[in-house]
Amino acid sequence: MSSFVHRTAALAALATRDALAARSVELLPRPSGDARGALERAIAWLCRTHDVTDRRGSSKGFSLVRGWLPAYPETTGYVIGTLIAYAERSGQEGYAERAREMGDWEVEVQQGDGGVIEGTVGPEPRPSIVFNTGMVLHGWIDLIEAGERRFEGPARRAARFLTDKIGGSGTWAPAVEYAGMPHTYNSRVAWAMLRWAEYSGEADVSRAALRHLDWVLSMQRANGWFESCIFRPGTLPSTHAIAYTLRGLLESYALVGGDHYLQAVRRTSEALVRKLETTASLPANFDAEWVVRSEHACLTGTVQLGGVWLRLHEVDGDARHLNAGLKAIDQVVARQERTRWTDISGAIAGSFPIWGRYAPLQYPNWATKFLADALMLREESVARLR
Amino acid sequence: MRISLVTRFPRVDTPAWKRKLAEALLGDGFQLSVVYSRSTLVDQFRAGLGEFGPGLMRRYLSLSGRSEPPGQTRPAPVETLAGWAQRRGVEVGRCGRLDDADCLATLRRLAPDILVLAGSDIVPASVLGVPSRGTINGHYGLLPRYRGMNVTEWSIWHDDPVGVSVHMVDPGIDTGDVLLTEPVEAVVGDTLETLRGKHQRVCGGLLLEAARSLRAGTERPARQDPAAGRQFYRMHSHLRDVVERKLARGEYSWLGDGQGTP
Repeated sequence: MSSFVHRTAALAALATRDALAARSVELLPRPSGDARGALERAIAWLCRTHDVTDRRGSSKGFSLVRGWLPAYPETTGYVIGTLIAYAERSGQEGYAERAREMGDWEVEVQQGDGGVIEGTVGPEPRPSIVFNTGMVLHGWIDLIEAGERRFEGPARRAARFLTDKIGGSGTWAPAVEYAGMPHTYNSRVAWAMLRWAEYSGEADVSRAALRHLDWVLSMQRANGWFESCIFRPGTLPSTHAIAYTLRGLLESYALVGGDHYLQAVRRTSEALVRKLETTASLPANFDAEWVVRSEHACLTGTVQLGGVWLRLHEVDGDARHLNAGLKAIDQVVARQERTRWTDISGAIAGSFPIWGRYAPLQYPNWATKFLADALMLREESVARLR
Repeated sequence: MRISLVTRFPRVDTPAWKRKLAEALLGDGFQLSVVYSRSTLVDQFRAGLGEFGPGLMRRYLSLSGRSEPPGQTRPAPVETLAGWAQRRGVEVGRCGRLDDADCLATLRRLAPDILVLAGSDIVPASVLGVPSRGTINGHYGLLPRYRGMNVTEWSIWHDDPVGVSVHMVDPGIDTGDVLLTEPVEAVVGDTLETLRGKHQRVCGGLLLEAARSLRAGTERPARQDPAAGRQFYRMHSHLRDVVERKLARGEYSWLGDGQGTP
């Protein structure tokens, strides 16, 4: 474990580095896209997030202030899929074993109502939250698809929680929503529900998911901007929440069709690709006219969008999306930590510069998870080009 | 009739076609001035990196005649447009950004009837209001289908013909009325670099023709249908490699025989 002194020294060095980089980012050529070894470094760091919890879930991340953070059910849920994909790709069973262990830990912490708690596991009871439940449902479905049928029960209970709690308008009750408000990024939950419905044949789960997706579409403006695409009231949409929303819509389209889902993804992408192309580092937040409202980049959101655009290209064949996806991923690969300090080596910070408002001074596990996902997609896309 | 030729970063510029265009405009009786944006060293370095990447220094050395090892015959330095203009007594204005106040003041003082964009930055609306007859731009793509950047590459990617358009400039990106278009013939053995040279030559000729038509009042602007095209951005190196391979392998459907027959 890193000492306080070590972390403080690192914080000073990293902040200085990013301060210099932020000042020169417009002066330097755009990242070249050299991603050699980036995937392996990212996966090694994700394994470290598992090791530091004694392999009971994936740590929420590494903080330059507090050190390693506790295991986080929500994001452990979707790290599972990343490790399974990497195990298949690399042929190394150890990664699949880690994914199974994470799945088992998620079963241990599943709530009595079938949901998954907000935040990290602790002595105080916490409510089940829709989004977190959906993300863990993804992980269990990934395990089931990999042949681990023992996760069917927990997955069914999670899907039932999501289906039973949704209202007629396609949103969930405030009591089961983070910050007590509906979020368009729950399209990612709908995607998980559609995956489960396809596997289990439970039509009411599918109907509930589609009801939610209709609500998400009703939140989109003509310029592609989404209302309610935020984590808390009074904030502005971030690339992270937008990318969640788009991925949920896109994968739902891939599962059940519906051109309106695809068009919604394309509409928002059109606006964001323009921002990507006209800024050296994609900013984190935008207002309703797509005016930039932040000076930092949310690296998670940038790399998620990169993945969304590579997938969008697979679906619609528009090479402009492939082009944008590769560039977005390049931006984040250029920010991957390459150091001998194993607590952060291979990781992606929440923000660039590191003190930016999104997960400041932290390396959240989901940032690196989405980098690994995007790099695997990138390899497939580039291989097809050859 | 007064024309201001607006361009950028003289030190690593690709000057030959611009110089020829300037010579032709001057020879045709236009009163010419040249305005450079990004005239500071830092701006030129940035712009050069964006345009030529790591090959920036090689390009600079080659243009300055210093690319050969000592002892070998060095080629004569390539004269920049600015150097040529000064030698010919053509007024040269230098500014940072086109939307800087000093740039606007320079252009207003020059009072051009037509602004001719030759490898210029995006022109702000304030500058577009300066010339009495309008602003024209040479675009290395066939409008309305291909707007934006690297459209030669994008045309080849989509297996469409390549060419040059000259259009009136409005506040959008390559959305103004089209004055002239001309296909560029790609032949076996062409690379993106050689095609770029062909586009430059065609572009110079079309800009001269468009300026003449504006002077004579015989221009025939054609409105673009926004839905007829898409905007493209700088192409990623992985996609650019595919385009280069497509050309090298003769897989581009529009490769001609050099006789004008694709």
